[in-house]
Amino acid sequence: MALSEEARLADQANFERDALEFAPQLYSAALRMTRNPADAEDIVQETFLKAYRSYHTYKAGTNLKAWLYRILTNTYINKYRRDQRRPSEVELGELQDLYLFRRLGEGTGGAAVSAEAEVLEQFVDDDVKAALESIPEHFRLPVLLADVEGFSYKEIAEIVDIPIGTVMSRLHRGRKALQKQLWDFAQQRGITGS
Amino acid sequence: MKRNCDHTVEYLYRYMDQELTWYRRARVQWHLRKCGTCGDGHRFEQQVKMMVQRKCTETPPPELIDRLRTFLEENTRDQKS
Repeated sequence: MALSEEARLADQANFERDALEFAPQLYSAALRMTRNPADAEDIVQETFLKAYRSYHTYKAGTNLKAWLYRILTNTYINKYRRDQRRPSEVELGELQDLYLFRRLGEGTGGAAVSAEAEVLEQFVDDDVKAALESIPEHFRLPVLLADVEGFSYKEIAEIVDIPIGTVMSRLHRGRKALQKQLWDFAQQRGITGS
Repeated sequence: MKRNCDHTVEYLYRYMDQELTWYRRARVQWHLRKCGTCGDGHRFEQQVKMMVQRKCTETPPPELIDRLRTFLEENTRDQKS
């Protein structure tokens, strides 16, 4: 066996050992992107195949998790993004900072924060998932990567391939949009702060 | 106080995400201790953030990794020999 062949097989073994452990997290993120389990598994498979084939370009010791998320995000965007336009600022409207906190406070004349925290307890998993999935994609990806996957702004900038300033503004607006959706759910169901 | 509240709200997410330089971080932290409303707002935002993480994390199907391994083997066999 040629030496390079041996090295390549060792690479493959390393890839399976190191990369596959991130599969559950990637699947979870993929599901929030595609909103459906079959599509999520599809893009995870495609991600691992691409990652496997370009594993030689991955620099050992750098951030493997972020590298895999970058491939996942690209795969998702290439396959599913229908809307290639740049997101417009009006897409989400202008929402107040501390959106949900302020809405909940209005009903109670500024009740204790514990009352507002109790409201959060009443949201079921599906509400929060639906709220996240309702955000326009350009804003959803930074929220997903920061709040669910725990990436830093710099990592998100690299994964989504946008400048850090854009990560910050989209994250900010995306979080407020998520809170607005939660507030709409709360009102539909009569869950309020009082 | 108003000016400090505005400053805090503007930088609150970056503060929570640990993305501020030490100087701004200290200024926000100081204000959050002093101002009840901003302090409550901060605690609430933290709770929302934790809730989003907790409730949006998905458990994959148990066979996911096995299926992926098989998929990889089937699709890369040509490169192995």
